Amino acid sequence: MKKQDKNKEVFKRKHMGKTSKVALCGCLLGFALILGYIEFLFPFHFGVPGIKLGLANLAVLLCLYLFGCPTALLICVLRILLSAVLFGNSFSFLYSLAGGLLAFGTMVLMKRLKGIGASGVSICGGVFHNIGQLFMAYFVLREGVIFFYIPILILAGALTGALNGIIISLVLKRMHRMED
Amino acid sequence: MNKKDILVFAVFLVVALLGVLLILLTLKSGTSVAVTVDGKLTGRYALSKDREVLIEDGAGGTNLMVILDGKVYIKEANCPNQDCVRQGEISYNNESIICLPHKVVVTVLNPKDEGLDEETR
Repeated sequence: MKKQDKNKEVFKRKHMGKTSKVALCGCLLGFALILGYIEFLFPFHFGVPGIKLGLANLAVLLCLYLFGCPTALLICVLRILLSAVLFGNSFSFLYSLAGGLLAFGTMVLMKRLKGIGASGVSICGGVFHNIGQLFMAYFVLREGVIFFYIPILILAGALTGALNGIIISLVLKRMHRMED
Repeated sequence: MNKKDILVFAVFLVVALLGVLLILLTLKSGTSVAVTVDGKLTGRYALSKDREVLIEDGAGGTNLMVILDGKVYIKEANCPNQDCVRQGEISYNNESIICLPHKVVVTVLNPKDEGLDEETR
């Protein structure tokens, strides 16, 4: 009960001061980095490289729904930059950036469509993250043969995106309930 | 998930499954393997002959490729992520193992398909 009250307070503040928004954004960025780190520590391997759960996108999605596009873009880019510095390799940065930005663009567009919920947005994000990474890999390697794996990457993106989307819908539902 | 979310999911699912189906229907076992480093072909090897090949990227990066029983895998690599090693064996036409840090691509080919003669070493 006490914990819930705390959440309520944090959430209500988003309608108020700039300072609390900055603080909450900092928390979301930290959340994204921790999720990214967890995935780095316990990677899932599905045979084709580049497939992962994309848990860090949870924080970006949440930010997109709480604060809108510009703030979420900032979190998205900072997350990729900081992950690369903290536990990535220099080459992984390019792939994350290509995937992250393409995913972010499609998520913003999808969010504008009527009737598409957080799950639909997240599914598109997942799919286009993988497609963005694949195109970056193509620009680096210049090997058309990598597109052989595109159906598997689309499938994986849709599945992991759906998973993230369901989590975010549940979180948002609870947050809105607290708001009332 | 509401109806439109499920529709979005279904669209991607259908596209992906069609793609997988297309790949499965056109799947052929490969007869040779091509190795490219940074976009340049560095060697073609027949899958019929077991051997080990050390692939070097010219900047200290190495991948040890093994051809065994008509299958190819990367046994060892000094790249940071080890994705190429984890990917395991490949043997079908157009399958590839990619080492992003070293820009190494190992692709299984079926030269008869490409109209090339077997100019493998």
